[in-house]
Amino acid sequence: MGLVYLGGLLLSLAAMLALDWRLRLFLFRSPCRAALVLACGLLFFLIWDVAGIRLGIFYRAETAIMTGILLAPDLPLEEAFFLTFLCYLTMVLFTTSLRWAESGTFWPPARSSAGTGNRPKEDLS
Amino acid sequence: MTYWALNVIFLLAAGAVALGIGLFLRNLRPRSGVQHTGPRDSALQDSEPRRRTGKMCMAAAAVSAAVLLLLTAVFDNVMISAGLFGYGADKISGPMIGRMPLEDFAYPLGAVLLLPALWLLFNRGSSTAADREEAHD
Repeated sequence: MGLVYLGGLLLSLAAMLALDWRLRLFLFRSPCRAALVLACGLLFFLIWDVAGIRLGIFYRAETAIMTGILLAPDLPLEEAFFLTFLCYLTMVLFTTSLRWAESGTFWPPARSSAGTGNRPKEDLS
Repeated sequence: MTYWALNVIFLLAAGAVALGIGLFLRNLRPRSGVQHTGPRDSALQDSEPRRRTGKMCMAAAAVSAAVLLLLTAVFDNVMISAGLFGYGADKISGPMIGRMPLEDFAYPLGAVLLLPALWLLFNRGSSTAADREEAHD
């Protein structure tokens, strides 16, 4: 049972990766740049979390659905995955919205730019 | 220090970074300050996307924020109900959405302030093939 929360987070991350892969939004568009953004976000939120824990604002509940592995006092392993997911979700939403604003479609520009076969804007195949 | 006070510090930091990057990128654009005037990329000719503007970036961030706040209200309640974490009773101000203290909205707000700004900033000087696809940026 200790893997329920972590498993749920990994499943959510996998779904986000699949969407990213299909639409080439973020990590699958520009891996280094995306990884750097995620790393900055994770660091920012971990500092926020640790500050909150030190100040007695958050506490970790003892629960059967977490692994019990701690990164720091009261900071469970799962929190790092949650924060990564929050950052990834934010960027998938942003890149999707921005693409829609720019091109009116969620699909990435055609990979081959040889000029043959204009890709339909609403290619759902 | 209360949860609100902590949030103010981190939100101000994220907001300052976003504002700084926004102004920096705006000043990099020649003339109009709204439109990009860089060369078009051949890969984009057939789909004719509009040139990215600051207004588009703000709109995309606003849409992302709306979705994130909604999801936070739902899933934070789920996580608190599942007993994953709790709050020091004397540190939160009182207003709740279900079992979630209002303060928790600061996390998604911080994310949507900081991360898109970094993403747009890091695009400068980026030279991979994948990035050149969005060379109107």
